[in-house]
Amino acid sequence: MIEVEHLTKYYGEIRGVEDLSFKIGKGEIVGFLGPNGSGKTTTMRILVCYMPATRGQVKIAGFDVEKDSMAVRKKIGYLPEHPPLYNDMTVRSYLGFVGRLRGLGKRETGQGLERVVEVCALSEVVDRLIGQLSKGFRQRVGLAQALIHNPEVLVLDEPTIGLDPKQNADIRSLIKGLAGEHTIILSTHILPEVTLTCQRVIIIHQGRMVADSRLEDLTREQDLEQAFLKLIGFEQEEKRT
Amino acid sequence: MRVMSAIFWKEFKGYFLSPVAYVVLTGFTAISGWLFYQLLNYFIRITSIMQGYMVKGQIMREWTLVDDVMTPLYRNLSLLLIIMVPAVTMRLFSEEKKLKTEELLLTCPIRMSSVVIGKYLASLVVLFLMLIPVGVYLAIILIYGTEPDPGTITAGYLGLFLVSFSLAAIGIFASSLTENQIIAFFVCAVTGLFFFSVGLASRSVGTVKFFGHSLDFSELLRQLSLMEHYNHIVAGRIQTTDLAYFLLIIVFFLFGSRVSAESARWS
Ligand SMILES: Nc1ncnc2c1ncn2[C@@H]1O[C@H](COP(=O)(O)OP(=O)(O)OP(=O)(O)O)[C@@H](O)[C@H]1O
Ligand SMILES: [Mg+2]
Repeated sequence: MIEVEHLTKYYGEIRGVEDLSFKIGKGEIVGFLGPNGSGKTTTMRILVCYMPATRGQVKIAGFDVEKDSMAVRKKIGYLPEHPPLYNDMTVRSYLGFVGRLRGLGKRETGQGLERVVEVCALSEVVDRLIGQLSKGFRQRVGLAQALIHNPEVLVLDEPTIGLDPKQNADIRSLIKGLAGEHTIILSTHILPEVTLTCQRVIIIHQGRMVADSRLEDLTREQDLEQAFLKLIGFEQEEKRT
Repeated sequence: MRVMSAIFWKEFKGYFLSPVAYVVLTGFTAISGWLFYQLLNYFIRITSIMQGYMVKGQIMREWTLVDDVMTPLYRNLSLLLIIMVPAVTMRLFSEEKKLKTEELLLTCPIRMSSVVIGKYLASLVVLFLMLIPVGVYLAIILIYGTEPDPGTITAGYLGLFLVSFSLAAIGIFASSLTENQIIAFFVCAVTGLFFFSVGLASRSVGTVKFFGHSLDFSELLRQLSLMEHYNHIVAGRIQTTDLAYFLLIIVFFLFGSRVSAESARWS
C-alpha cells in the first residue's frame, strides 16, 4: 500500500531524512519510532503530499505522490504534528468543513461526522468552540478530522500525545479496530504504546533507518526500550560516561 | 466548486465571529457618513451665498453636486479604503499559517486556486456590505438633487468597488506572505499607497533612452497609477484600459497568492 524507495529530503543544507526505503502492506499498523529530530515528521509530510522529496520515490496505493498527488491525497487521512484546528469554529462546523474539503457530499459528511464523533468520544463537546477545548480534546478533534472520510491510509503524527490514560486506551483500541481495512502508519515517542498497537516498527535515527522488523523479532531477547536505545546508539554513550 | 463554497462560507462566517467585520463596517459607515454630511452641508451653505467659483466677480464654474459633493467624497473614500481593505484581508492566509492549518489545506485533495478564490469572494462580500452606505448617499443625491448627472456619479461609485476589489487582491497576497497579520496589513497598505501615488512621479520623469529604444517613462508611470485610472472613472470617462487595469491587478495578485500559498511546500 505504501512503497518508499530511497527517500531523501534536505532542507537546504539540513538533512531531514536520507535514503529511506520500506514497504507497508494493506491493513498493517506500523509504528514509526525515532528520537526528536530524526525525521519522522519529515517522512510523513512527504507521504501525504505536503512537500516534495529531494530524491527518491513514494507510491501510495500505486499512485506516485508527486505525479498523482490528487489521487494520493484522496486516499489519505492525516493528523499533523500540530492538529490543524480553527479556534473560532465549533467542533461540528469544523468537521463538516473538513468533510467538504475531503470531497464528501452533504449526506456523507453528516454520516462521517456522526461516526467520528462517536469513535473519538466527542459528543459532549461537539457544539463547543475549538478554541475553548482542552489539549486532549483538541487532539481528539484532530484525529476525528483525519478519519471523517474513512480513508484507506492513515498517517498519524504522534496521535496520542496529551491524552489521558483512558482516552489513550480508547484511541489505541480505535486504531487497532481500524486495522485490516486501513493501512496505518503512526509515529510516537511512547514506546509501550507501540507494543500495544503495532505489529511492526520502523526505527529511524538522524534521518536513516536503523531497524525495520516485526515487533516480536525485536523484543524477543530484550524489551523495546532497550532495543530502541541500542539501535540509536545510546548504550555506548551511557557506558562511556 | 464545492471546495470554493466551503472556504467561502467558513471565511464569511469567520468575519462575523471576530470583531473585524463590525469594526470595518461601522468605521467606514461613520467616516463616510460624516464626510458626506460635511460636504453636503458646505455645499448648501456656499450655494446660498454664491452660484459658483468666482474670479473678479465673474462666475468661472457653477457649483454642482457632482463636482463639489460626490467627486470629493469618492476621492477621499478611495484613500480611506487603503486602511479598511487590508483590515478585511489581513487574516485570510496569515491565520492559516499561524494556526498551522495550511498543512490541512495543502494535504486535502483540493486546488489552491479554489481556496484563494473562495477567500477572495468572502472578502468581496464584506467590502460590498461596507460600500452599501455610499450607495445610500448616492441615492439621496440622485433623488433630491436637481442637476445631477446620473451616469458620472454612478460611475464613481463603481470606481470605489473596483479600487476596493483590487486592494483586496493585493491584501490577500500580502496575507499569504506572512503569519503576522500586522505585517500583512502594512504590506497591503504600502503597496496600495504605491499604486495610488506612483503617477505623481510621472511629471518629473521624461523619456528614457534604454538600449537604443526610447521608453516613455512618464506614460508608463501614469498607466501604472491607480489614481489615474480611478480619476478617469470618477470623472465619468471610463475607458476599457481603466477596466483592464483593475482586472489585471486582481488577476495578477490572486495568481501571486496562489503561488505564495503553495510555496509553503518548499520551506
Ligand atoms: N521546515 C524545516 N526547515 C528546516 N529544517 C527542518 C524543517 N523541518 C524539519 N527540519 C529538520 O529536519 C530534521 C528532522 O525533523 P523532523 O521534524 O522530521 O523530526 P521528528 O522525528 O518529527 O522529531 P520530533 O520527534 O521532535 O517530532 C531535524 O533536524 C529538523 O531540524
Ligand atoms: Mg515530529
